[in-house]
Amino acid sequence: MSNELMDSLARQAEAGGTLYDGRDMDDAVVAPARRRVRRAHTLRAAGTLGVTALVLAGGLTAVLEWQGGRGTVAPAVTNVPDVDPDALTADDLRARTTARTLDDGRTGQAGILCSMPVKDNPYAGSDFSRADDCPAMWVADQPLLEVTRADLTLDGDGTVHIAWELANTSDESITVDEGTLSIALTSAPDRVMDGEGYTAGDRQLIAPSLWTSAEERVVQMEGETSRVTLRPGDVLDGDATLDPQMFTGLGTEGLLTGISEGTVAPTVTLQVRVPPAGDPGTRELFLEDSAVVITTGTMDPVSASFEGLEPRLQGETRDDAQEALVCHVGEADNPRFAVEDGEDVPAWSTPTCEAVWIPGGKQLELTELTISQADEFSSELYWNAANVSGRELELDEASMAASIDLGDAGYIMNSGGVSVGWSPWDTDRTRKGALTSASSRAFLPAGAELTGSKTFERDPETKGADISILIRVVREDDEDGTRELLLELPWSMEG
Amino acid sequence: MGSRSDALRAVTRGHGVDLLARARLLTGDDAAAGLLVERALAQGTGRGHVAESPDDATAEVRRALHRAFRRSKEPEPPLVERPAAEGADAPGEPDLREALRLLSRRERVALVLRYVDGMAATAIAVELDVSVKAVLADLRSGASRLAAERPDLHVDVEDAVEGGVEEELTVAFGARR
Repeated sequence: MSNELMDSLARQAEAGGTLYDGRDMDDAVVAPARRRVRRAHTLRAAGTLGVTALVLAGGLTAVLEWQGGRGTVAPAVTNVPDVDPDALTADDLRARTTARTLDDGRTGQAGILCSMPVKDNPYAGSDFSRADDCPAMWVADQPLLEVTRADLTLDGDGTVHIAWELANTSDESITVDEGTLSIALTSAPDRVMDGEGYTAGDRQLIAPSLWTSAEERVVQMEGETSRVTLRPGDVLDGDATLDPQMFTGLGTEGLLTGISEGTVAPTVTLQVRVPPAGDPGTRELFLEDSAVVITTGTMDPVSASFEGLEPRLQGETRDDAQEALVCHVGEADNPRFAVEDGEDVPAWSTPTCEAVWIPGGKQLELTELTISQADEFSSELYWNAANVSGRELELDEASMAASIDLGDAGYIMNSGGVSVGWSPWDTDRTRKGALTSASSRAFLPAGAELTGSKTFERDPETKGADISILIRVVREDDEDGTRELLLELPWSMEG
Repeated sequence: MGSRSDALRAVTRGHGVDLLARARLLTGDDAAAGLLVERALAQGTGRGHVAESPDDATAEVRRALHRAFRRSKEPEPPLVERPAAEGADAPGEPDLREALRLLSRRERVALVLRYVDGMAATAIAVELDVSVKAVLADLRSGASRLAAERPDLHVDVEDAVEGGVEEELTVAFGARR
C-alpha cells in the first residue's frame, strides 16, 4: 500500500474541491449539462425509454412509470409571476372541500386531497416523487381554474404534442405550484379504470381514466416547487410532448391509433398543486380540470414489414410463426439515427416493445447457445442461428443483442447489447428490446447460419436462465426510424 | 426520483464538489474538469433509466465521468501553474499532476479508483465497464511508471494490482456549499 500516493492524491482532490466555491457551477457546468440532456432527447436516442412496473401502495392498479425524457410540460405564466401573500392557499381551500364521487352529478372546482407522512411528502423534502391515488374532492361550487385550451398535434411518427392553457376564471387570487403541474391524457375519463393500469412519468400520464375507484383519482406528485399567484384572469400555458413509446405502456391500448384515425377523442386533465401557507405537512391539495382535446395530424402509413403481425403473449408458443418485437420509438429516440458523438462506441437503448408473431413459420432459429467461462470474472455467451425461412433474409448483424432473463434477480445490468438480470417482460404483451447506433446489413441465404457472441459478468444463475437473442430486420424503408422490427430467438438453458 | 432534471439537480447539489474535484484530479486542468463534469452529468442523468434515488443518480454520474475520461481521445491541455497556497502538493514536493500526465488516461483512472476509492481491480472493471484483464494491465503499467517517476511515493506495483476491496466504496471530497 502506498500511503504517500494516497495522501498526495487526496490533497490534489481536496484542492480541486475548492474550485466549487470559486465558480458558478450552475452556469458553467450544470446548465450546459441540462442542455445536453434535452438535446439528447430531442435529437437522438441516447437514453433508453425504460418502463418500470410499479404497484400503487394499497391499490389494485398496476402502473407503468415511463422513464423517457423528451417530454416536458413546460408551463409558463403569461403574466404576474409573483406570489401574493393574500391569495388563496391550500389552507383556505381545504376548509371548503367536500367529498367528490365519479357520478355525483355536481359541478364546481374539482380537487384531490392526498394524505401521507411528512417523510413521504415529496414537497417536504422527500427525494422521491410519486404517483398515488387519493380521495377526490369538490373544492368550490364554482370553477377556480379552467382548461381554456387543449390542442393536440400528432406527428407522422406518432409523437404527440399538446398545447394547453389553464386560466384563473374565478374572482379570487390563488397561489399554485406551477413547477408541479402535470398533464394526463385519458381515453375514457368518465369511468373507473378496469385494471388496465396507466403509464406515467415526468409529470405526464396516459390512462383510460384517472378514477381508480368511484372515490379516488390518480395524481402525480413530481417536479420542482415554484409558486406563483394566479390573479383573476391570469393564465398558465405550456406544451407537452409525448413520445410514441409512451403509448406502448399500460392503459394506452389503441389510443395512438384511435387519435390518428379520429375514432378516439381524448381528454386532457391538468393537475396543479396548491401549496399551503406554511411548510408542507401531511396533506397535499391539488386542483384539476379537464377538456376534450382538439386533434390535428395523423400518423404516417406503417411500413409493409409491420402489416399482418399478430399480438404475442409472454410464454405463448407457435410453430407457424416467428417471435418478434415491434419497437415504436420514434426516430428521435432511435439510436440508429443518433447524431454521432465522436466516441466511436455503439450506443444501446432498451426500449419497451410490443411482442408480436410474424405469421408464416419460423424464419431464424437458434441451433446452439452456450455459456462458457471467459475468465475468472466474465462469461461468454455464444450462439449459432440458422435461416430456416426457405428464403434469403436481410438482417442487421451489428444489432444482435442478448437478453438473459434471471427472473426476479434483484438487478439488471445492461452493457454493450447484453442485458442480464430481471425479466425483460414489462407486461404479458410488452418487453424490453435492444436498439443500437451500429448497423451492418447482411444477406443471409436460406439455410445459412449466423453466429454471435457477447461477454458479460459471470452470474451462476445463468445456468437455468431463459435467454433470447434479438436481431433487427432490415426493411425496404430502412431509412424510416419510427419503428424497428426485431426477430426474437428464444432459448432455455434448462432445455 | 421523478425526472432527469430532478436527478441532475440532486447530484449537483449533493456531490458537485466531489465530481469537480475528481475531474480535476484526473485532468489536472480546471477547464477540462468542468467539461468532463458537464459531460458526465449529461450522460449519467440523461441516458438510460432515470435513477430511482439521488444515490443511484450520483453513482451513474460518477461512473459516466470515469468512463468518459477513460474513453476520451482529445488532446490534454498544458498544465497551468497553480498557486502554492492551494495546497495541492506538500511543501517541497513536485507537482503530482506532472507525474500523472505521464500515464495514459486508462492508467490514470484505474490508479485513481484504486488509491482514492480503494477499489480492487474487479470493482474497477465494473465501474469502467471493461474487462478485469484490461484493468490489471492498466494498474500494473500505471503503477510501474509512477513508481519510476516518483520513487518518493513508494508505489508498490503488486499492491496496486492485487489490493483494494471488491465492493465499491464511495469517497467524496470537499464540503457542500
